[in-house]
Amino acid sequence: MAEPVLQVKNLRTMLDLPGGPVPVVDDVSFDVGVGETLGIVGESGSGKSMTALSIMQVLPKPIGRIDSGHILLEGIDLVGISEQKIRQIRGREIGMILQDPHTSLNPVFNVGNQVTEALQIDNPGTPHKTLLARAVDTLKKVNVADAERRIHAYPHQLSGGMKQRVVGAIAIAGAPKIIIADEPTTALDVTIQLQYLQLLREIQDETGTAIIFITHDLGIVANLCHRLVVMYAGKIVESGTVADVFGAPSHPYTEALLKSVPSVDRKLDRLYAIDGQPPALVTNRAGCSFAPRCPYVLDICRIQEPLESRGPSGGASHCASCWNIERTT
Amino acid sequence: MLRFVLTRLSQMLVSLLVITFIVFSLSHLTGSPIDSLLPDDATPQQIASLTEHLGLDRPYYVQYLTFLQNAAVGDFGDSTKWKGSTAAEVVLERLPATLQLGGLAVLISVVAAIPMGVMSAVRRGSIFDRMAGVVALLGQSLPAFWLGIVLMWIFAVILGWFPTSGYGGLTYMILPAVGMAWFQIAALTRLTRSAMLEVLDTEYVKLARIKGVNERQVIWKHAFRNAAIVPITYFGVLAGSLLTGSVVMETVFAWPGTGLLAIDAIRGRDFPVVQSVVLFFAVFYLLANFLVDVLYAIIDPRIRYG
Repeated sequence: MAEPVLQVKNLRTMLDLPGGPVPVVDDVSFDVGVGETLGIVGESGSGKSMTALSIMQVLPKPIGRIDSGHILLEGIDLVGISEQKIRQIRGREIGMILQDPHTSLNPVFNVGNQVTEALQIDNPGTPHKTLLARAVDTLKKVNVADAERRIHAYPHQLSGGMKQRVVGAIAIAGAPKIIIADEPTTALDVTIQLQYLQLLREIQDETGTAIIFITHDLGIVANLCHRLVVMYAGKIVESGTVADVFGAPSHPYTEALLKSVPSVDRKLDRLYAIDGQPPALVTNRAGCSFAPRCPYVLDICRIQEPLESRGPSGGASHCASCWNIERTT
Repeated sequence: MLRFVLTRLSQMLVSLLVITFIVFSLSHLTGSPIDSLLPDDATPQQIASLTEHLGLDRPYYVQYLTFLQNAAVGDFGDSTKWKGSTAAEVVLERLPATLQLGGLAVLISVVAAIPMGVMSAVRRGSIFDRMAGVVALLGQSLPAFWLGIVLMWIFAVILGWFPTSGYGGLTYMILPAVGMAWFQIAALTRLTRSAMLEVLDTEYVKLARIKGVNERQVIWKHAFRNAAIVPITYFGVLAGSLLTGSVVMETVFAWPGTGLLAIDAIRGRDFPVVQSVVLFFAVFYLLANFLVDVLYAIIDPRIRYG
């Protein structure tokens, strides 16, 4: 793998809920290399978005906080640095695209205003005219047609796909080393989804930025990502290259997720679904979080948390946290 | 934007017309003014001649149209209580006092409540937020007459910072203005706080932080501009009620404003003065709400182009 831009080490993020602090990101570690796309996959509530918000340090206030661990951006730890310093990193070093384009743009400011604001942070004191011209350039980079006119438009005058392009323009405005895309295509319809993914890939080819792509859509991961981590209940249960993990899923949860993807080649009477529900947020649990839903569960799974072990694919980076990788039952 | 303003203006005129009709009808529902104008032993001839002189024998709609015609040029007839003055003169004489006091009360309300509401929301659950909550609670639960007297007792009688009552410059206005603003501060603080809490939780505020915008701009530019719709709506009510005077505060502080005038005129069955006072109040509410509509359109493009 290329030299890592971002290294997350043993990250633990807590939410102080009325019933007590709950870990929503629990001992998560991963690296992202220059020009690499890492997929983070999991169900709703698995801690994907919380991981992203932890990196950005925009956790819900006042209940969210990073409890322990390190987030190294080119070797510099972002955990515990001042609000002022992290603000200089947001937008400039790390850009982010949120899930729903309909709510992520401010309804009372026009497109030009919202894009120039992102440009201005990097270049304070630049005349407004120059910034506007650069905003037009940035919008053109994300394939916004008629950008000269569109900078005067307000969000409610744009389509969902167009709004998400504007959010993309804001993300790339500061020429970040890494872009975190949190389910950016979930709210778009399928044809627009494809265009948007294509766009992300073009931006990456052009600028060499790293991308963390958060999704529950395994099809996108297969198409777009180099490596992936699978999250379940705040923990990473499996990680590896796309080829290794898709070729030989070693955690039962990953296996089940892959089975749930319908295929056009196979005729199905009904879709495969994983039994049960993802666990509720709780303070303490013994053993593997997936044990109650796991078809290969062993006695030890309910008592002790599984250790990380090498996946059967033999890939150097392929790991899974499971007691029963050999599937003895 | 111009079309928006013109539409609202024409709607305002329609409202005004409806209000004049109500004002005209209401004063006729309370009984005939003849009874209070003539002594009890007046002859039927005297009654008939005054009725004819005042035009009260003509059909209702004719009376209304005449009223409307005269009202358009500011003529509401002569005051029956304050002899020798027209109703409009009586009202205009009291107007400056009320506008001064009301204006100061509006200023105090907005300057105190908006920052307090915004900071309460930003530092939700902090000591500041809890103290603001107590202030709001006191503001909404203390009766105005009691508050006026206590303010006067502490700041005028004991501390001697301000004169106790009467009409005069700024020092005379501060206590009654604070008394009038008190309740409004409470309401406006609460509204601002809840609107801000909602907006601070949105994705676009999150995206503003993600962009690297500093916290002050996140709060005042991104969040407050969106939250402002709610306090602005209330501003219409607030400005209307404060600028038309406060009966209680004007009584406590012997402030010669229109609030007192309205009560006196109603008690004296002075129809022309009652009509002009009520109409003046109504025009103020309309103007305040027109201003609110225009402010909406300025801050929110969805209303401007909607």
